[in-house]
Amino acid sequence: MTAPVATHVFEADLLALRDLGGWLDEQLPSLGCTPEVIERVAEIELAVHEIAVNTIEHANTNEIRIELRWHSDLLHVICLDSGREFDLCEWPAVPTEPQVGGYGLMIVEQLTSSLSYARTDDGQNAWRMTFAGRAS
Amino acid sequence: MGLGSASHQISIHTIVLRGRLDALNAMDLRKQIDDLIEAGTVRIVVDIGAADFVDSAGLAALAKGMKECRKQGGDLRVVTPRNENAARVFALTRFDQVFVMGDSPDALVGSW
Repeated sequence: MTAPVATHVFEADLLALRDLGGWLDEQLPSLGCTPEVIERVAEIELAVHEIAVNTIEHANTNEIRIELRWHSDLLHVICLDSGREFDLCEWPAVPTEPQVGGYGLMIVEQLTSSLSYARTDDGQNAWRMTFAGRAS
Repeated sequence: MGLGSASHQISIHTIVLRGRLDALNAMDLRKQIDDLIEAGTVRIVVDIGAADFVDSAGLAALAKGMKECRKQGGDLRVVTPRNENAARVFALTRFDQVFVMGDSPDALVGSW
């Protein structure tokens, strides 16, 4: 049986991202996520929001496609866009001293069970995240 | 014996922000803070006690303001969001240990 998938295409616009939380609120229960994952919706929103803001600010794209899939007791989230390729050298190191910015990916890494980036064969940026019932 | 006294008045400004502090409005907050500093106010309290969402861009606006205020002998202090979802970003980045934070503007102003 194929795992249920929810998809939404957001305009690559900071105002549009404010609808993300409401959309996640609606989708997680209908995907069959456990209550433990549904309880984490605000953390999931923050992580996806940080990836989307990075995309809007650096990838120069018009839209961001977000896919959710519930599979093997994990919520799988993919953020796809057709913008400029992310340079892995730009992945910021964990700051040893307080600094003014550069915390977006560090926040996402802490909220997710896994985080990865790949450029797909058809030229898209694909950010993949998984979330378990508890922050890991 | 000569006795002298002097009173010193310090200027503290409080900025109140409700709802979301995110990439969309972080620049507005930064401008407000920059304008205050330029006008000579380097003791600033940002009251986000009623905020329900704070992201890394919002945090960066606060951090930049704090750095500038401290450089000029002041500080930028932050009222801890009562909503745990809004407070989360401070704990994840450990900025809760960098900012002077408190439960109310009065608590932060009183300790100056």
